[in-house]
Amino acid sequence: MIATVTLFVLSGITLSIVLSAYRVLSGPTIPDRVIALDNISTNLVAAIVVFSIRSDSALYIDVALVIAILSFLATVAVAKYLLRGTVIDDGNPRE
Amino acid sequence: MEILVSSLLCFGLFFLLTGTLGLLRFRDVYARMHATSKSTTLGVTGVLLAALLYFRSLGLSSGLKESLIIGFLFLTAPVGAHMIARAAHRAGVPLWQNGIVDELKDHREKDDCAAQRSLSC
Repeated sequence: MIATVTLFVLSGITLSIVLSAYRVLSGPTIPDRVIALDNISTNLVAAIVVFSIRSDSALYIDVALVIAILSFLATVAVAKYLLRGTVIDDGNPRE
Repeated sequence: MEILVSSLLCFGLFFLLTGTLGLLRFRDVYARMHATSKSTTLGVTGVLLAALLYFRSLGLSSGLKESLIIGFLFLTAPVGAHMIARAAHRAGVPLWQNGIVDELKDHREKDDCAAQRSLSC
């Protein structure tokens, strides 16, 4: 029963990732693409956790944790870049 | 236990698909952010609770890492969404044509007037 349900849920998450990829390709503005990429990485975390249930191994949870942290860092970096023009601020005001 | 894990997985899948549907169908950046940030957090929480219960019942894991990911997502998803929305507003991304309320724009115009002390405000 677990095998069937995890296969179904994995297919649904894959569909969700493909639909978000459409928004990445067609998003009219840059923040649209960033939101869609954030959505893809969150879906990827869920997919890895479901795969870890499916393969009866708790090791994949570490991978999900690392991807969650990296996606947050990427979102913050892009937001900083859109706001200031640089990622790491050197303290000097932008002219 | 299997029924509980399966229903939590389907709960999570429903919310993930709802978030993606909102990402596709809504009209501007702010509405899309509103759709994805909240519902995907809830969806991943459902999936991780399923993993926690499943691995606890098998004795494979203590469930600490699953709880850590849930707490991390609840902390970071609103922060990231807020930063992207603020950057989009600064960059001048407009609301869609029937959008009415933009309180941040009014607030910033008032701040600019106070800073310039110009007579036209």
